[in-house]
Order: sequence, then C-alpha cells, then structure tokens
Amino acid sequence: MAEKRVLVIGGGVAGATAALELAEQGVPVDLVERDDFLGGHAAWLACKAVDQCLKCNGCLSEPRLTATAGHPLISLHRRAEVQSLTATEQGYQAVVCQRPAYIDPERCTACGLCLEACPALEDGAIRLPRLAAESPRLAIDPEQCLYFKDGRSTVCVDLCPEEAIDFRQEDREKALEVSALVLATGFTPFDPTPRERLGYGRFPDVVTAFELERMLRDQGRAIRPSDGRPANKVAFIQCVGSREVAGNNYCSRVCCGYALRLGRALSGRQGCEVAVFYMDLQSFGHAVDDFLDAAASELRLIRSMPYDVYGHHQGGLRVDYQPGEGQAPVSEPFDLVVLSVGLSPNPANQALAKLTGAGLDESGFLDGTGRDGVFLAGTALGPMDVAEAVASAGRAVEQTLGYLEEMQP
Amino acid sequence: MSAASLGVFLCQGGRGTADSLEFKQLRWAAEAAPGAVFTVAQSCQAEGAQAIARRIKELGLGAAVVGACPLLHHPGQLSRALAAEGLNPDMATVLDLCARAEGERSGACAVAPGAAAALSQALSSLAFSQELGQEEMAVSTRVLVLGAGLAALMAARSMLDAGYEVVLLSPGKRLTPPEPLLGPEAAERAGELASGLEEASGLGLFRQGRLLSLGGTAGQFTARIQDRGGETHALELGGVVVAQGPPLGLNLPPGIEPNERVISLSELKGLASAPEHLKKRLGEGPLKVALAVGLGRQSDPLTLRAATLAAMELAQDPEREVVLFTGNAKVAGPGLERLTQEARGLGVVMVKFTSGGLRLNAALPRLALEWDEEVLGRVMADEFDLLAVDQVPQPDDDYRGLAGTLGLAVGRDGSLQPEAISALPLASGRGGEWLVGPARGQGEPMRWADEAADAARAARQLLGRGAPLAETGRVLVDRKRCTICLTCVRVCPQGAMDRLFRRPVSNPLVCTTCGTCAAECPMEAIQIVGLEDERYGQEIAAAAGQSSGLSPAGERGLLVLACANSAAPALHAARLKGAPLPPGARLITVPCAGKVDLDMVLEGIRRGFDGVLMLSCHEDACQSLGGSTWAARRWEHLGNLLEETGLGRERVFRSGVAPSQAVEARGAIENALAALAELGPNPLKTGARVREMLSRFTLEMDDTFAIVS
Repeated sequence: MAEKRVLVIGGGVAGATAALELAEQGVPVDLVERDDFLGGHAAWLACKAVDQCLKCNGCLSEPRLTATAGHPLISLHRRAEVQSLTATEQGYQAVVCQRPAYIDPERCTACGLCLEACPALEDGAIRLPRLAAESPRLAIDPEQCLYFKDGRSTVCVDLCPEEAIDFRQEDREKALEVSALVLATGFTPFDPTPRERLGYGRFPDVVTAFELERMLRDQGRAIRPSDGRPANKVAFIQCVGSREVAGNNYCSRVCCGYALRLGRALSGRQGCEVAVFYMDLQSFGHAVDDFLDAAASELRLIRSMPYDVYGHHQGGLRVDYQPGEGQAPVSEPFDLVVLSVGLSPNPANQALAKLTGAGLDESGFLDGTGRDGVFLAGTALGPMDVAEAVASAGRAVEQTLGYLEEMQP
Repeated sequence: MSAASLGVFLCQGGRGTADSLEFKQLRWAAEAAPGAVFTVAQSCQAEGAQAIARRIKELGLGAAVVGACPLLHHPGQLSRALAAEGLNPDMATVLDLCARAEGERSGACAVAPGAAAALSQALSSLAFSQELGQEEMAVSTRVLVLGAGLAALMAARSMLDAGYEVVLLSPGKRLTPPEPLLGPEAAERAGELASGLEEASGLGLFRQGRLLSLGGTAGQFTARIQDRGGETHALELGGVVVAQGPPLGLNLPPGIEPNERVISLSELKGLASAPEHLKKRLGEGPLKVALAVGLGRQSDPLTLRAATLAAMELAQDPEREVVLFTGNAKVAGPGLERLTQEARGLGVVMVKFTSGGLRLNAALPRLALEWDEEVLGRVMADEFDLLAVDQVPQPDDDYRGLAGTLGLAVGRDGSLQPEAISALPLASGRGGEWLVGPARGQGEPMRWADEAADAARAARQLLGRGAPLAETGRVLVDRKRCTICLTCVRVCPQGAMDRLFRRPVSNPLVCTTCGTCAAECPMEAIQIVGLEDERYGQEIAAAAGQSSGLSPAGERGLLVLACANSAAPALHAARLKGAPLPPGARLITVPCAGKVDLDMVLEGIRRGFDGVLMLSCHEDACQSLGGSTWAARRWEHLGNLLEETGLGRERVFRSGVAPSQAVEARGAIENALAALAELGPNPLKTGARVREMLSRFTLEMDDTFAIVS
C-alpha cells in the first residue's frame, strides 16, 4: 500500500478533531459518519454567554468541524456505517455501507422548492445541516420521507427544477483499505420517556437539556413549546438517567455544568426565574468556586429530587418536591421543565466492541484499546466535556501516529 | 495584481434578476472599479462554472471575482472547472451577493441588500491581498518538561515517543514524589514511567533544578536552568510543557486550625494503611474518625476517590466509626458513584453539610464538630477522635515566581490556564507552552494521559521535525517609526512577539494575525500584509460611497466591524436562515476585534456612517485569546473621545456574539440601527462647520491617543 490511511469512525467533535489532526500531520483519513451531516451532539450546543463567556465549551467544536469539512486529506463518508473489518497484511479492510443521498450534490441549488412542498417536512423528511461549511445543504431522511412509506409521494422529484432528486438510488458498499482505526462513536443522550413521573413526552413543556440547547441556538431564547410564549419560570431537574443504582449507575459528569450555565444564561438574558433541583453539584476544576458562587446568587439551587411533574388545569406545569425531611411537600408552578439527561453509552458499542476487539466497561462504554491499531477517542470512552473530548482525540492521534511509524513498511 | 487582467462575473440568477435596480447597482459598482465586467446567466452548476472558466481562459484574465451565492451550493465546482481548463484553481474569489435564503424563499434568486457595497469593498481590498511564500523555520526539537510525578512523567514519555528530545526539570530530588491522592495503580504507573525514563536516550534530567529565565518565542526559546550544584545551563528549546502544580495545603475554612487531631487526608492515608501507627497515635480501643472534603474550596473527583478509599480502609475494622463529610460529593469520575455505594455498604457514613460547612466546638475536650444537616434541616453535632481534611492547590511565592518566569499568570486556585475558553484544552497565554495536569487545576490521571499526549500532538503541529513551514513577512514593523516601547510584545495574546537585536519581530509559527499589536502600537509602526490600515480605509470608503446613495429618509447607515472568528460566521448563518444584513448596515470583516483601532471607527464616522458597531467574541471567549479584551479597552477610550468631541458615545456600539449566535448577531445590528434612527443623522454629514471642527479634532485625537497609550 502506497500510503497509510486511517479510518475514523464517528464525525462528532472527537472524531472530527482526530481526523483533522491526523490530516494536518499528512495522514489521509476516511471519516465515516452515520448521519447526513457532521458534528454529532457538540454541533448543537448553544452559546451561554451573558456578555461574559460562561465557559460552556460549546464553541470549541465549530472551528474544528469547519476545518474538517473542507480538508483535502479527509474523505468524508456520510450516511455510512462500518459493516465488517478484516485484518489484511497492511492493516484492515473495512467494508462500509453507505445510504444513498437521493439528492445529487452537483445539481441541487438548495432553492428550497422541495422544502416548501414536502408534506412530511415537520417530521424531518428533509434536513438542513448545522454547519455553514457543510455541503451539500439538503438531505432526505428515508425514515420520514413518505416516498419510502408508500412510494406515492414524489412531489419533490416532480418539482425540482434541477432534476436533482432521484429515489431509485440504492445502498452502496465501499471497501476501505486502512492501516489503523480511531473509534469516536460518542454517546447517546438518555431518553427520559420511561421516567413517566417526569412527564417527558406527555407534556410539551417538559424538554431535555439537549432540546433547550437547540431552542436557544435557533431562536435565541427559551419559550414554552406548548404555546410559543416566553418561559419565565424554569426548573432544571438534574441526574435524569445518571446516578441510578438500577440503570446508569454513574455520574454523567457534564450535566451540572451545562444546566447551571443554561440556567445562568436564561436568568441573565431573559430574566427567567430559574430553579435547579440537584443531589450534588459536580462542577470542579478551574475557577469552580467563583462559578458556583455566581450560580448560587443567580439561581435557586434546591437539594431535592422532584418526584412528580404534571400539567395543571389552569395551564403551566407543577413540580412536586420535598424541600427537607419533616417539611411539607411543595407543589410549585413552572413554565418550562428541563430534564438534565445523562450521557448513555452508544447502543452500537456492543457491535463495535465485537468488530474491533475493544473492551466494554461495566456501564457499557468502550474501554481500552482493541486489536492492533485500534484507538479510542471521546465520549465512546465515557462521559466527558468538549475540551476533554478534544484532548482525548489528541491522544488517539498520538497513539495512531506512533503505531503508523512503528509499522513495518 | 494588474487591474487590467481582473474579471468581475455577476450572476443573474437564471431567473431574471438582471432587470432589477439592485442588479444594475451591482453592475455600476463593478464598472466603477478597474477590470472587465461580465454577466453570467447562471453561475451555479457545472455548466455555469465551466462557462466562467472558459471565458477566463479565452481572455487570459489574471484573476476573477464571481458575485453569486457560494454559500448555498457546489463549493469546489468553479475550482474544478478552472483546473479542467488548465488554470489555477484558486484564481477566482466567489463573493456572496445573493439574498436567497436556505430553502425559505423558494427558488427566487435575488440580489442581497447592500450587495453593491459589498462588491465595491471586495474590489477595493482585492489589491491588498498578497500571497506570501512559506519558508522553513529553524526550530529546536528539544522540549522542556517542568514538574515531577505522574503528569510530568507522562508528558516526558509522550514527547520522547513523538521523537522529541526532552529535558525534565524536577523541582525536588525524586521523580516520583509522594502524590497522596493517587491510588496504588497510578503510583505504580509513575514508578514504571520513571524507571523507563531514567534509561531512555534523549532525556536530560535536572533534579532540584530551577528555571531562571525563559526568553524568545515558540520553537526558539532560550532557557537558563540552574542545576542543584548551582551551575547555570543555557538551553535552546522548541517548546515547554508545564506539568507542575502549586503545593497543596489543607482545605480548611476559617475557624478550624490544624492540630494533632486535625490532619491532612494524605497523613490519614498513611495512618490508615499502617494500623500500628494509628494505634500509636490515638491509642487502642474504638475510634471515631471524620473525613471532610470540600470544607474550604470545592473538592473534585480525584479527592473524593482518595477520601472514599481511605474511609473504606479504616472501616475494615468494625470497632471504628467512620464518617465522610462532603459538601457536594464530586462523583463525576469513572466508577466513583459505585465506589461510594460500596463504601456505604462497608459502613462508612456519608454526611452532606451545607454551605455553613463544619464548625469546631472548641469548648469541648474531644474534637466536637457541628454542621447544618440540609436534608433534616437542623444543626447536628458529634464528637470524634480524629478529623482528616482534603488538600487543595495553594500557590505560594515560589510558584508565582515560576509562573512569572514562564510569562504566565496564576489564578487564585493555582491554575495557569488563561481565562479565554479557546485556550482549552491545554494552551497557555504563550505559544509553545502547554499546560498539563496539575498546572491546569487538579484533574485526574486519566485526563493527564490525554493531555500529555495532546501536548505531544501540539508539539508535532508546531515544531514538526525541526523545520516547520511558516509564512514569513506577514507582520511588518517599520523601523523608522518603532521606538522600541515593546507595547506589541506586551499585548500579543499569543506571546508571538520576540525581540531580535532589541527590535520587535513576530514569530509566524504562533502569530494568528489577530492584529492586536498593530492596533495597540502607539507609533502606528506595525502593519499586517493584506490587513493594512490603508486597506481598511479604502474598504470603509467603498462601503460608505455605496451607502450614501442608498439611504432614503429615515434609514441610517451603520458600519459593522465583525470579528472573522465569531460575528462573521454568525451573520453568515443568519443570512443562510433568511436574515441577511438589514438595509443600511455595511459589513467589514476584521481578523479579530483586536485589529479594530480608533482610526477605523473614526474613519467610518468621517465617511458619513451614522454609527459604528463592533461585533466581537464575548469577554473571555476570544479565539485569539485576548484580542477582544484589548478591543474592549480601546472602546472605552473611544467613547470618552467621542464625548469630548460632542458627537457622543451613543453612536458607537459594541456587542459580543459566538459563531453559533445567528439570531443575536442580527439582533445587535437591528438594535444599533434602531438607536441610530432615534439619534438622527451623523452631524458630520449635515454641518460643514462641524465637519471642519471635527477634522481638526481628529488630528488632535490621534495625538492624544499617542500620549495616553
């Protein structure tokens, strides 16, 4: 093999950083991303500054993702997943299955006629990327697109002035020859639906913190999804899907940090009254005392876990909690309840571990390195913040470069 | 670039925008500049790109500007078409002059408001763009690692593995000093690393050494190190890893003094693992031991792990009663939640105190503690034989001295990390110096391993194999004007300004061309090629020229100076979402708010803009680490000057935005325009007398500025 290529699986901030830094060292990279677009969860984080930066790490991903999107040494395989991995003399052959784009990127001018006509737009049948540097600009999600349900809705195909849409395309398999692998498959946000008492999925004004991040990013302020009015009184409930003896029996490390910052942003920008229900505030590290003092002065920090969230007949939500032993339970109204959901292991980890020989820890995150030339980065390893994921990608890059240097030519 | 060989291609958008007034204005703007002007039916798609490339080839043009909507589709299509014609694929600049939003305004191509001004600006600044060659820089491939213990040893190992020569400067005798918070596995790992390093070739070791000075800039540092014999060594260095933290001190709140019954967690760990010592110290019989973490400052997962393990060890003996007091139990480390559950299972009582902390009741003979129990909501009290408290970094004068030598500042909690978020994970305020482990705050060993390896990665990026390519000659210092006041050396947020034969010179390896030096230089002796004051002067004139013709009654002209790292991408995202610049606003992108000097703002007002808005990164979020901080200071000064002139500070606005804040960036512009609508037109536009007075005052202001700086 003339050149040693590296396969990076996962195009979130850890995978993109690893791909970018390898490419910067002259190593050609195949970057495989399951989604239509780059960025993973980090690309959706909102800025939480109130004049002064609150150090949420959200903006660390943007320049790295933008540079990755345009790097000449990085071949991006979107909508693709690794099917198999076979050891070869030079390393590995990875067979990648890629879903079709359905939209010809050379023809589409992103004119938006298809968006206006799409009957399933609300469900996300046609998607737009987060990153301005990304191209193509539009993607069709076959899970939501009506054509793939009954084969009848071809309104976009008929309308497209550039004849750029073609539903007849099929999955493609590609074989990639690589010398080493970086697994950066990330985490999955905990799904709070089964925690019925918290009301998620039943009341539109109960949202996850990830949904609030998107809301702030797209609209610049927090509203009540039920009626679009500004949310004036907001409750954050911590440890949803974290520190559970029967469940995710670990602390997700980042939720206190993001919740306190989101809370301070809402309080400072919109004048929201914010309450945070918590067990222990996990913030630590640089300048943490000043940060927590500021949070305590701006927010109501309540050391109690609410046991019921429900809609009130006069509108709004009620949160029931016990302020302390021997005290009367409180039922307090809120406009918006934000669930600080934890970081769960990616359900694909089992299969990935089998594929690459990587271990799994007791919580289901990947653990240690696997077969020769397989390295790990980011939240695939366990909960970490964006800066930690970036450093972790740096380590995977160093390990990969060291491995490539030692390989027999 | 010769003007005659420039071609300006204007896209008609295929659907008949050619007849619109806006498109005609665009043509006029193009024709006012030197160069040939062409209209293209449709610039997108392979066909449009090929047509442009063919035309460029036919006419033998030297450069081209294409006014189209490059953000929405087909990046690279034009480059590919140019390459197919055998031309330089980068010869064409594609400008975004389109108003078409992403998917919201179906199909309708339209010329953006302000497009004519944007085109004039681009054409005026084109003459300044200049490609500079890259040269190999001679750098040292030796890296200094400061510190001892696991983090420093990891950093030294990573640097050696990456192929760098390492000088390890250990403040003490031992490479593996006691690190009481680390578990046995980490201590074992440190031991392995130390013995491996002692045998490694490429490692120079100074025990009990001292860094006396560190001059120069990244890749070309010169250090003086004193060895334990007192002899001084001069070394050339490519980079420096700081893995040394401040000394640890007891984390006690006011009111509790250490005594024989109040000891440190590390002392307790020693006692807990050696029962005979414990007996000797406290006598036989049942014992009641309290451990407390987070009493003074907030604790961290590393400390909680150490305290929990110590408590579990003590609780092995059923005669002992062990209580672990925590403020916030920092269980955010791997497996730590499970470990605390296990500790409870072993009989360790875990108690959470409130912000009131623990209080010592001195009136009682034994160690009597009182605390506010948050859950029960009342004061609790108990007596103990022993209290062990955690330790936190407490910078002393020695550590502050070391930081000073490194050119870094120490935070109150001992971290050397700069405030700017973009420094994360491991940049310091000086290019080529990286912070690992305890130098960033306490952290955890698994993070230290990441940081140490990432530092090696950063060294590869900076130093390569000893001859990295860098673009030289971008920052020019006028020797006739420079008075060697070294303001530039002081203000450079990257520590890129070096002194060569006493004169300032910029190190291209770490310079980000943020322009802070150029803007702060009191003698205006620094220019950045491509970003000269003259270039911005012409761009402002071009923007203003097109602005005056477009301002009907009531509409105000606003000059927006936008940081390329934050505001420009945010406005770009707003434009994609269907919110282009509002009419009346003219955008000039600067590399960093650090480049915005007073002349730029005053020039805008002199040219007739009703107001000027600077959009920078938020405070502490500057992508070039400190440019926006300097810009904010200048803005204060600017406000005062404008007050003195009688123009008032209300006409200049400043706002912070992040690259993701499309809504907020657009909102800041609208707010400024609304404020200007209230204020009325720029008096310079209406009164000749005032104009004359102010032009005199502008000169005076320059003088004043030179003196106060």
